[in-house]
Amino acid sequence: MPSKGQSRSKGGEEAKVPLQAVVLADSFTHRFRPITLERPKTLLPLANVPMIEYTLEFLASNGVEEVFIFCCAHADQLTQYIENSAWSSTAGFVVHTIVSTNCISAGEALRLIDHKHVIRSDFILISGDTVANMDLRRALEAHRERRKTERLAIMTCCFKTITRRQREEHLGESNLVVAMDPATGRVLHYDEQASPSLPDANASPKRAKAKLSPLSLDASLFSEHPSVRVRTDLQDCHVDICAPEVLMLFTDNFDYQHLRRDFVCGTLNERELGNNIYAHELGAREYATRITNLRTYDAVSRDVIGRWVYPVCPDVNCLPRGDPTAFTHRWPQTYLEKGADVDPSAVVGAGCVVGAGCVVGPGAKISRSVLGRGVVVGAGASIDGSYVMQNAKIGANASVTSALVCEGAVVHESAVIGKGAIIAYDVVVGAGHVVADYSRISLAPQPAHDDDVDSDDELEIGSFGGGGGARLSDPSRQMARSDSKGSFGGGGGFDEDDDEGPGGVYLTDLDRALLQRAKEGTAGDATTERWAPEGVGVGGAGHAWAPRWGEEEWRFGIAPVPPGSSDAAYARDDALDSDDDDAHVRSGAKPAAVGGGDGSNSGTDSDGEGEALESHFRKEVAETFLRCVKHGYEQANAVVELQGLKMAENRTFADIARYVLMTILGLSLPAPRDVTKENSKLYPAKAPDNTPALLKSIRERLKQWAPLLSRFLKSEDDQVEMLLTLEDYCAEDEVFKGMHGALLVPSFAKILHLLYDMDVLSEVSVLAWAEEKGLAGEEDKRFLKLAQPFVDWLKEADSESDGSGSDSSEASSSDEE
Amino acid sequence: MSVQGVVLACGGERRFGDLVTQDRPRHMLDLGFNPIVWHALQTLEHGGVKDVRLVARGDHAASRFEAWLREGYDGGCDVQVVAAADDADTADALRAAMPTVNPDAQVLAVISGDLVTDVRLSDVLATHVRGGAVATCLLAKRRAWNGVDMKVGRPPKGAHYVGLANDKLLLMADEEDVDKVLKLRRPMLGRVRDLVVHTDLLDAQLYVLDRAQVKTMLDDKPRMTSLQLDVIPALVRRQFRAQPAGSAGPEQAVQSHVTSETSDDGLMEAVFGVANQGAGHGGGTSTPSPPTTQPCCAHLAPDDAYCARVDTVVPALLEVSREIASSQPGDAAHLNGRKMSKYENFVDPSVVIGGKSTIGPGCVVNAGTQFGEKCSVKRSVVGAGCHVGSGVKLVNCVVMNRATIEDGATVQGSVIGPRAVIGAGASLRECLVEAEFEVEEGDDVRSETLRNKSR
Repeated sequence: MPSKGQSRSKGGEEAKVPLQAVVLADSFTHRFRPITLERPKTLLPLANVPMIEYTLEFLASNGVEEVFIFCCAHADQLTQYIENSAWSSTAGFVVHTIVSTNCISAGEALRLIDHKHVIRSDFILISGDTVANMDLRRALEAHRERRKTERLAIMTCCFKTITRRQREEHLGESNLVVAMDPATGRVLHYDEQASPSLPDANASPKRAKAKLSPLSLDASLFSEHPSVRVRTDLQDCHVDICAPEVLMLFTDNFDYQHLRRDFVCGTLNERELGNNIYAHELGAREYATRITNLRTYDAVSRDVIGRWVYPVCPDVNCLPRGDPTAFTHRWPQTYLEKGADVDPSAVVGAGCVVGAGCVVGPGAKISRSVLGRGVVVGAGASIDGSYVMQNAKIGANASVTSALVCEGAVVHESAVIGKGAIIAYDVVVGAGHVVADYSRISLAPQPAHDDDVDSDDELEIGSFGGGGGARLSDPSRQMARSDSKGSFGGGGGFDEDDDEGPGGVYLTDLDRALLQRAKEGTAGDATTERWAPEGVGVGGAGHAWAPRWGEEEWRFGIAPVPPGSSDAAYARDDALDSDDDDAHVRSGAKPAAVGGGDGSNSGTDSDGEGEALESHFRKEVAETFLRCVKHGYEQANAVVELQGLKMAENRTFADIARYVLMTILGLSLPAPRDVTKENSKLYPAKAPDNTPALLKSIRERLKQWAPLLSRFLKSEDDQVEMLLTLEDYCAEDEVFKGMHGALLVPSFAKILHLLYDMDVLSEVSVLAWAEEKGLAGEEDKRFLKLAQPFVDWLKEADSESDGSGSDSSEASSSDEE
Repeated sequence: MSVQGVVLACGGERRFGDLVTQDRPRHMLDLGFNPIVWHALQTLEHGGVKDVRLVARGDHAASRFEAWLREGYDGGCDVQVVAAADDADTADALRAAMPTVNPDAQVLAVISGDLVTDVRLSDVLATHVRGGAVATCLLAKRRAWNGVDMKVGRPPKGAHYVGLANDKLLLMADEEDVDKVLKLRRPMLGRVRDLVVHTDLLDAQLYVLDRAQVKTMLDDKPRMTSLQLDVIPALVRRQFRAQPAGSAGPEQAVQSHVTSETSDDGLMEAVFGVANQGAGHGGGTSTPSPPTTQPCCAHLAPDDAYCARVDTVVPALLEVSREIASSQPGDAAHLNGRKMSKYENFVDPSVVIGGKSTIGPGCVVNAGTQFGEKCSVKRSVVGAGCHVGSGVKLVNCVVMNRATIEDGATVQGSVIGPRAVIGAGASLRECLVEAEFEVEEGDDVRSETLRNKSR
């Protein structure tokens, strides 16, 4: 059959498009400073393998055939790395690098990729710092299956189940709430907020975050999804499967910067466009985490060492591709690479990775730490929970706890590195110096805007998603960012710096020589003039950076967070959020209200406010109607206008009809006070002298508009309602004050008759009105008495036509049919 | 555990119009062979609760209930009728019943007098005890005829928002609270990992309540008038109230949090945070502090259970009447209290049926009713002492006691009130004919409420 053949060939064509992936090798944030001032983050080794290797391996093992690596900061280092690595020569796996050094956000990067027209079908969007072993094929299949039936399912985000404590203490991520449809997994709401701060954090009052506002879900969601699952137990893996439309959306919305805050929230908010985002949940054995800060770096390192990401673990020895490591695994989770020289008296405890060429001196204690290749650990040194990179030296009896010591750095004898500290490339810490907890030391001076309160923390974890997709389009913020960019002089991207080797641009030749001596430990106090000894000690080299002002280092530092600290923060936050019962008791909300009512206080409420609203609405109707009269609109157009008003004010047709009638009647009377000058020309200067003249004028008006009225008066109840309003009008009650309605009182019965003749009122409704009024108090019977002759006449007519009544009703019904 | 049953037979009369009179409270309207309130008593009785207070609005209504309990009631409950004020809402009614309840009862099973369900009360009680709850609500999927009005792009009309995490009830809000945006407070979100907010569930208004705590609340908050709108939401909110500074400081709260969460914190920490845990938990693993607030629970009716409230004439009374007569899947003929005939219907032996008349499956015909010849009755409920003429067609109807339907009338999807008269040859479709109304011969009426005007 031709159709079958066609579809098969089509399927074949589709299959020919290679599976593509976009890797963003820049997180566009400052979290990893000062390390990222000198090297790109994606090249930072994790268990002695650069992070991008994990990402590329993950993609390759899931059948991705073509990868576009978007390089921004330190693009040259990255491209060079890729060129020299085995990735550039792997069969069936093509790696392209796209370089743009002036991008400041993921949004810009994706716009650029869109302009290059390289993406041909659904692709994987991932960050270059992702460690994962998840089965991407399963997610892809689900995504493609959905796309077959739902073209606008443009994105599938991967989530992993996790507890809040794991997410915030273990991974250092923010408070994430995702609402989704329980049946389909469609994401309905994405809300990410900064976690509450600790009570004892010495945060500045300015930064101390107010209590978390309640999560706001648009109630109209429930019309499409009768039940909504609100999940606080998810970790966003930042592995997305996107349709090419995603890139187009980024181009269309040129202000989209952040993938989640702008794109996901924006898409979810603009439901009328119909684009949908779905969640894919990882299985229990699947793993995918993006390294967004040092806390995640630590957590993911531990997971890799602990074999939670199997087969991604050190002793598999497949990474880096082409030049793999050579670890052997030893219980308990210790990995030694061939050629590591560990003194027999040294203790290498659980959870350690020791690279080739390491020399661990006698009596040294190493636990839960990663040592890069060629690290030298002196005798009696102790290293716990730390990451010491290639060729760094830890002196004898030095102590390093939960710190990051970068490539080439030297920690001299008996120095103490406090928890959470970052010792950047080639920094030298003088002998015996104590580096405070959470300090950051780099050869590069601290950029002027690094401690800018609002700069990037807000970018990364700032609250968003709550209401209406708050965007970071604040111009002053943008300015601050371009400022900070300019201040490097290097002119590159956001966390980018010099184009030279480590520390190059900051050092003169003299400095270099000095640094060399400092590393050897022979500089003595010669360094104190160049580098302040308060930061690095005598004989040290490097600048101690000012702490991020008010930043909660514990949350994002490499040191493990004390267990329960996030809970403490939440407990405090919750305490601020106490809820008062009395505020919710509706029937007794007002102290003045007497208890034991029927549960509604609308009676007291509506008197003042209700009348004002009603008066406003009456005016609206009158003005709309007068405009139609003034311009001589066709009836049909007037209907459209009034219907629009009905929709806008959320009223019934009867409401419109009532006030239109009053306006029609009013047109035969002097202009009311609240009519605009222009419209007042439509009214006569004074009321007609006698009743017949008045009636004549009313009759003419009514003749014109009766069809409109009967069109709006859908039922007898509506007509009765209108009669009641007419009473109010004539009595100049409530909203009709000062409208000269009293002038109509003498002709009340005549007006009823007129309306009856014009088929605006039916006899049934007039009689119903009369009956209802008959039960009312004497006071209220004033108009009934006026109308009595007419009502009596109707009743007579009614009983006369009783015999033929059924006939006529049948006739009319058959007419309708 | 001693359980006290309370039936709240008050409120909601207005929606029943003329069908409800002084002498016939709305919970005494017939539903099949028994008054509506009989079903609530059955639910209690089957749950093993025999000691029951029935709260009525006003003395007169109370005397009507008493009369029925004396003369007509065939169940095993020991019912004591309590008269509340004439305008009492549900919380007021419970307040009125409080002094009369058994002081030894730990738990109140409060049930709305118009609930018809085959959910076992013992299951709800089990959920209550298992959860250590202060209040447990019965929730059920809405029947098809009781759906929420949904329009794309607008909040659902008349929706009730119920937040559940497994069997914990974490959110109770209605339209009034929500107003376009549903706000979920963080402490609540922090307490659960996975909250599902439903708008497709019906609050069956069967509550199992801790007697002492609810009594305190009713006494403390005299302004709370409604059980479902005030008291239950207040109890639900109270779960998340911050600790009072005196009794337990935040520190202590944190500690209890830590200890309670260690178990589910995953192996990652267990393996790699060993050292850290040992250090951090040295002081924290002391005796776990008792839970400071008791939770609210929800018992979700199983999918095949029947659960509906007769709170309106159309559709509730009409649909429930027919559903408890029907053996169709999803319907509930077993709630009828009688045995189904081999024709899959319930016809009282005293019914007189004329020649060539058929009464189809899913019908109820009560005592003393007479049918003429060539009638056809399908999926309808006909009360006691009715007169149905010849050649009458009844489809999907409820005909109340002593109504008269004259020859050749056709009635579809309608409710015919007591002592109403449908004239010969009249045709009604989807109408509500209230008590004693007389439809003229040969009238053809559709989708209307017919009521005598002398009110």
